[in-house]
Amino acid sequence: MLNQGDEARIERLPGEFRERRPAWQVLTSEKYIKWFLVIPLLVVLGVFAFYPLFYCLYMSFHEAILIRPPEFLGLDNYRKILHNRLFWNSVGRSASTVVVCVGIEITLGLGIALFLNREFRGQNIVRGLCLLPLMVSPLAMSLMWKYFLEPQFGIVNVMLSWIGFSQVAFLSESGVALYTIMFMEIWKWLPFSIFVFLAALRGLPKDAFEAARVDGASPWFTFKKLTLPMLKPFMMIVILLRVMWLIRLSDPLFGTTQGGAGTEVLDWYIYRIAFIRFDIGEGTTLALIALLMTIIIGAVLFRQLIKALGAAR
Amino acid sequence: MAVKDFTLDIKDGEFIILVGPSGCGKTTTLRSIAGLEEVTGGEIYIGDRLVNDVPPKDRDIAMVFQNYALYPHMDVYRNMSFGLRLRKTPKDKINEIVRRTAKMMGIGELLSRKPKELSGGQRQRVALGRAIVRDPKVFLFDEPLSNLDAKLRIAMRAELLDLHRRLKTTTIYVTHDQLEAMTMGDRIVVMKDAVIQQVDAPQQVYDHPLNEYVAGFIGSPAMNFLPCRIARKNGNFYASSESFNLKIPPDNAKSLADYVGKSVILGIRPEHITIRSQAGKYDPEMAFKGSVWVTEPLGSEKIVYVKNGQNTIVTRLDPRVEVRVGETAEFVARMALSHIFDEETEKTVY
Repeated sequence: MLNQGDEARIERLPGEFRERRPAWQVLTSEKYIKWFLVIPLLVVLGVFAFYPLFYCLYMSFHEAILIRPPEFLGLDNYRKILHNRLFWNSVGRSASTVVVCVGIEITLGLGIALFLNREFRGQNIVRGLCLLPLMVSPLAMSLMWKYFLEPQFGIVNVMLSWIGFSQVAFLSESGVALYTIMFMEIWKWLPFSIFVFLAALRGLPKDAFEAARVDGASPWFTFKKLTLPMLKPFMMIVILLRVMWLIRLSDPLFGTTQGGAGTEVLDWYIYRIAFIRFDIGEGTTLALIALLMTIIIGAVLFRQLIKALGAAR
Repeated sequence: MAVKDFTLDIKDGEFIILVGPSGCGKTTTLRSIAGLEEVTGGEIYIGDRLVNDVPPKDRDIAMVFQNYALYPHMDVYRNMSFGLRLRKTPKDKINEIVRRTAKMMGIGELLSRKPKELSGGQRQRVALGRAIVRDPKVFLFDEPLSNLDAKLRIAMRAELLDLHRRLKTTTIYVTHDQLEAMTMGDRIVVMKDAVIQQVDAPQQVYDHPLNEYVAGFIGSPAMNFLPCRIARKNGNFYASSESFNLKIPPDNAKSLADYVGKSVILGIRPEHITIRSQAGKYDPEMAFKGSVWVTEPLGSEKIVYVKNGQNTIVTRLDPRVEVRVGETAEFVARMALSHIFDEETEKTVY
């Protein structure tokens, strides 16, 4: 290994020892080419991430509504938001969505993965069908459920009436609507955790389980002491990704409640302030707060993931 | 892999080795004994108990796997105590057994380490320790040394033998390495294509192989197989071909009467061929000419490949014998220790 001092010394070698290379070769040598190769990425990141981010930060200190020239406010936007009940309500809804969805997706996903992780007739067909919800476009999914759950003629209510239940306004009754949104989200993303767990189960060391069988471990004991701990890193991956995605949840609301009936989650709140009310100042502030929360939660979960990875291998 | 007609009676405390090439069914046999593989016909007894329908955990066996099969997220102590904890052994008793065994295996200092922090040899010891703490009726070893480097493998071989001598637990050991089989087993079971070829003490298998396959599988360098014809002259039998004509001692020749004029395979081990200068007094009718093709000095011996007609004959000579590549010399075969194999059935004639 060369350290920097060595490199400098080599640079200072008398000219006759140094190889003279054409400019093209110098520019394509590893020392320079790696920088050239990242330029496109840096440009894209700069234009689409860093510039908007700093512009957001700038705008968050201003009152900026529609096209009026921004007016400097200092931290007023932040103060206003942190004292706003509507904001905290939306945060609460997002939090409960995250907890319920991730909890159910993990348990159900693992259960179904365990069930699918065996040889049976038509296993490939069943596995293929399981993947379908992930392929549906988010807006199409939300419209599909809107019509399924329509109170008058939606198929779900029709079927409920057959067995003697009264109509349920799944998407317009507050107290029910948010759970309906959660259900739609789980329906769409359950395959993701199923397949992560299925892949993980397939990759577990077979002989450790045989050793446990010879040792006399019951299926439940094996599951508790071997399967679960060995699956922990994969569980953390699912949790990490799903939490980050769920904080930014808004797709299922587009075709359905549009944030009404007590379903206004954080992302929809931001969307409403920034793009329906066109209060850019407050909207950017909200977006930054949401970003900060995502980063903090993401970092905590990421550390857990790294820890789990270290423990299981 | 289906194993056919496997009948074997293993004595209490015996060290049995199942040996054969990969895919010969030795591992399947072991896994059937462990209960990890379903037996579709036949009976397995451990002691006086028929265990066909007994689940693995109740067979009172402990198995050591090729890849150690340690539980990656548990430390050494928890790995070793896993089986005992399952059996609801009291905590202080577990502690005592695990620590005593770990000390015996030389891993007493590693109890709080995770498997990934151990070397291959240490992992192997943990896997062995985990089997030993269970104090089973039978140990099942599935190629336990094949993932270790050569030097460590030899050391562990000796340790396993010492362990067996101390514990006196019946052991069934699977390997594809004929050297391991020779050095470790009380008896070895040579398998090929799911069928037992021979069961006997190692030296017995080496000296009296039942067929050409066993003869070639056991021993390194492998036995020479030379196609020839049985000829009879002046009351003596000869193994005869275009490039050699070797007299078969009368003691060996008794069973050869039916083979006169027929094609057979002469089998002779490398160490039973010497160069004439080393042979002392010899029978000129047991010598053949050959040109030296390749020499491999190994320090303790010299492996010399000799071209004789169509055949390449391997000989194991004293390292101090001077032979030059290309030189033609006379070699003497100890025909009393040779074998004749039936060309069709591959069975040993003598």
